Amino acid sequence: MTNETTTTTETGAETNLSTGRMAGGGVDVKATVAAAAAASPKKTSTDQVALSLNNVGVWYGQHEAVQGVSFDIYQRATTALIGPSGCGKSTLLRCFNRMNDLIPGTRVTGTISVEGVDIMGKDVDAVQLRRHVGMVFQKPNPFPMSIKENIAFGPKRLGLAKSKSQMDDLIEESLRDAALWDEVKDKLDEPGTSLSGGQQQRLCIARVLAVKPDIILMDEPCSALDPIATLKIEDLMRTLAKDYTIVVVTHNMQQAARVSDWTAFLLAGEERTGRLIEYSPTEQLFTTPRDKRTEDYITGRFG
Amino acid sequence: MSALPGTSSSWLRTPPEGKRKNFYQNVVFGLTILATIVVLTPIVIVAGYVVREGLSAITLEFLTEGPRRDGAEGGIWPVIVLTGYTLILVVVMAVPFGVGSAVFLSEYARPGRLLRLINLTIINLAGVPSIVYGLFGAAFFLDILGGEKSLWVVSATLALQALAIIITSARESLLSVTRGIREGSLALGVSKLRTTFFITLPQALPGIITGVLLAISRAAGETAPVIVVGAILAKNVSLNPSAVINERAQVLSFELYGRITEGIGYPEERKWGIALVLLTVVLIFNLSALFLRWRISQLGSVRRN
Amino acid sequence: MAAAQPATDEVARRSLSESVRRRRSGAAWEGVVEATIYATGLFTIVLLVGILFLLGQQGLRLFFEMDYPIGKFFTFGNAITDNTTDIEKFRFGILAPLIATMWVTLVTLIIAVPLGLATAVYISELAPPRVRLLIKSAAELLAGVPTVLFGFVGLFLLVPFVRDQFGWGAGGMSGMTAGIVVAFIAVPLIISIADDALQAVPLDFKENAYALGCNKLQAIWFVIIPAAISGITAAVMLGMARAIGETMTVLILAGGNSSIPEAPTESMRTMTATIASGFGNASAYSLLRPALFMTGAVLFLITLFTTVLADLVLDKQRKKFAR
Repeated sequence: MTNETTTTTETGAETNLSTGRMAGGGVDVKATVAAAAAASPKKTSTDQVALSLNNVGVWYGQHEAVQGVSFDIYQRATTALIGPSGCGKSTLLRCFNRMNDLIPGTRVTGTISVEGVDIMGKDVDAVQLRRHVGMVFQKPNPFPMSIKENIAFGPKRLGLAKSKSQMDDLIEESLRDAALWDEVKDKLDEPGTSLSGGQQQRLCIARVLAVKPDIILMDEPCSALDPIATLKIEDLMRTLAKDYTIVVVTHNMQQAARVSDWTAFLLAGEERTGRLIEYSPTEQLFTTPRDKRTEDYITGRFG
Repeated sequence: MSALPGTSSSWLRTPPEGKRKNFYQNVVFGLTILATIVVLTPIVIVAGYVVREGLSAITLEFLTEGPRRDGAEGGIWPVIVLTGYTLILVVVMAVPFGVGSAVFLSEYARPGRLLRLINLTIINLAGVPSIVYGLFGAAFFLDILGGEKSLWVVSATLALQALAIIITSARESLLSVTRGIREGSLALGVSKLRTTFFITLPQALPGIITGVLLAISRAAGETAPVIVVGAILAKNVSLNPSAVINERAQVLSFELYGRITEGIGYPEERKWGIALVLLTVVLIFNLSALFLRWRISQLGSVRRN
Repeated sequence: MAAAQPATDEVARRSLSESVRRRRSGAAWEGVVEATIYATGLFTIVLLVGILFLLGQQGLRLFFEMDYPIGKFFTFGNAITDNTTDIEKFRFGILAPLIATMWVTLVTLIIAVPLGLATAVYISELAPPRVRLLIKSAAELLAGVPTVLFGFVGLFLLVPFVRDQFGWGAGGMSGMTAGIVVAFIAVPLIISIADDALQAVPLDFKENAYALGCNKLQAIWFVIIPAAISGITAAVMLGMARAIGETMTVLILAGGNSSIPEAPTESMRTMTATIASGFGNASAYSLLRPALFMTGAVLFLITLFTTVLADLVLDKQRKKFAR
């Protein structure tokens, strides 16, 4: 969004970050995180927790894909989930808007709460939830319609725009926010699939922005893109983080370091069950990791 | 492969046994081409023969008037009209149920043993001999529901077979819609039903229509089930749709079969005329289906670029 | 864009926790539509599965209501389609139609399998893409031609030829004559499924074969066909099911003799032809009607068995190359 409404508190890191907690591992997280944050004052959060995970586990049938994950994701910050492939980071991400509901045989344990409400609860409408927690996928997946219709699809189905001019404004705004407007403003009626891969991905981001979500989940959004397109998406993520809560899964550690404020490192053992190893402000995780395994991973010794 | 003159790369040249190999290869490949030609000749023969023999019978009178003197004179207009009614009824009965079932199977049914069993059944239903559908139609619509031999019973019987074809093809085209765009819509907070209606179905629509066209084409040419549930040869009846539904059915395929077997003294030329009309009707639907499928593959390749 | 802001913000910025617990507008209506979809799906499936049940039920009346001996039905060497209620006079056994079906199917397969497989190899491995598309379309057209037309044209072209040259069957009408024509009805199915199977063989199989110094024929013969063998088997089986179920051509061309045929060159009447020719004059209380239903049930079971088996074989093929 163009109107700068950030209320970022630059200094209150120590007190606010004390909410950062971690169940497994047995390390004194609070102290470490606080120390790290004090050492390098971060621009991050507005002290509000967007999503709170408590002992989250995911089962695919008999297989336990993720076990005992607990941490908080902060509002208007970018959180990266990193780890080797098969560590359950995408699986975990898909819990945040219950996309896992669509895969039969999936079971989620523990709680994921938003403002104190468990989103896995029976009283929560998954469809309604997804409208607030948008998702951008690994492969750009524009609908087989024009660029304009791609953006309008969500608002139309959800009844977000009252008139045609409102819809047009919404389309322009979403495309501008996704840094795509200048490239497509003269060809809004061309099919979304005619765009390049990077543009398609920004179109998908614009499509999500058009339904005004609170949280945007990104599942390896750049893995199908070339380096230049990747840089553009990363720029965009940094801009969006001023207004949205972003959770991004990436296998690219440099990307995590470049775009995120917080990083969670997951790792799966022999039995292919992913666990949270470390959750820290990004800078700290990459400069002074607390866990030996994190250090091994970020220095490229395995994974 | 030719080596440069003056170099000693003679091993690059085809050795004698390689030449023999290539000879065998050419013989075998020649045989496959021959087989292909043999397979395709019947189309030319059937179409050519039917057109050559039948064309002289096609007059305005033949196409637009009712039969006289037991069909030996006059035309087959009632048969053409009632065939049209039959096909419309087939579409009305088979399409909603066929597409509904396909949506159920591809979008809603939970994978598991039961779904696998159902899928196996459905796939195999398309392979059930048409005469078995005829028997089922006779048992169900005539014996159990107590219907009279009539146009609607013939239509309903043909619709059963069309149903199997439509479910199979519609399910296939629904499943070929990529999961990505479904998830894209769901992730916007659009419900499953709306995603199905606004994303999945429109995407699958050309494929579904292709299946429907093929099913109509099949129903138009199908003869065996019509024999079983009972049709009659060309006869002048009121062509008012509401009245004729309970009348005995007259369809082109049965008209042809009946004239072949019973038509002693029935002019030869007129049989070929009926065959030509039948072939034309069937080919119109068949060719539109093929054309549509070709268009889909064209669009598909554009989309990938 | 400022204009859009207030209207959308009202909805968007409502407390998230409150919003996710609210019922969506139109959810009830959607529930009704979804229930309809469920009902349609289940109804159709029940209806279609009912076919076997109903045929069996109608057919078994022959033995259990009308006391026609089961042994006689399966062993009596003739299938006379008399419309009678007299159990003594009713002489109907499924053996003759069954053997007739076997003869016709055998002739069909002997012709259709080599033709179909060779064509599949040609269009899948050798033909340029345009030719491939053309032949595939032509084969589909062939599959779409009503079989009654094949019977009719066969009656005019093939029957006189067979009569004059070989003198088979009843004036040229024999199992052989019918089988030759049915072969062209079964062949498009064989081509289509065998072609799918050949196409499914991964490209690197071929490349590996070439890299080892195979020529094209060797690559096809030793690598591609073995890799696609289960799909090819399924193609043959489905072609067989098609031949077993074909009615109109055999009704018109096979001659119609109701006794057991000892050679394919005799006049004969298959299961399908027996049903088609007999059902029209089988009255509701005759023994013939349930006997024909029973014949239909046997026919159905045979084709079902063949197609299910083919499907299992195809499934194996799919799993082999699933990546």
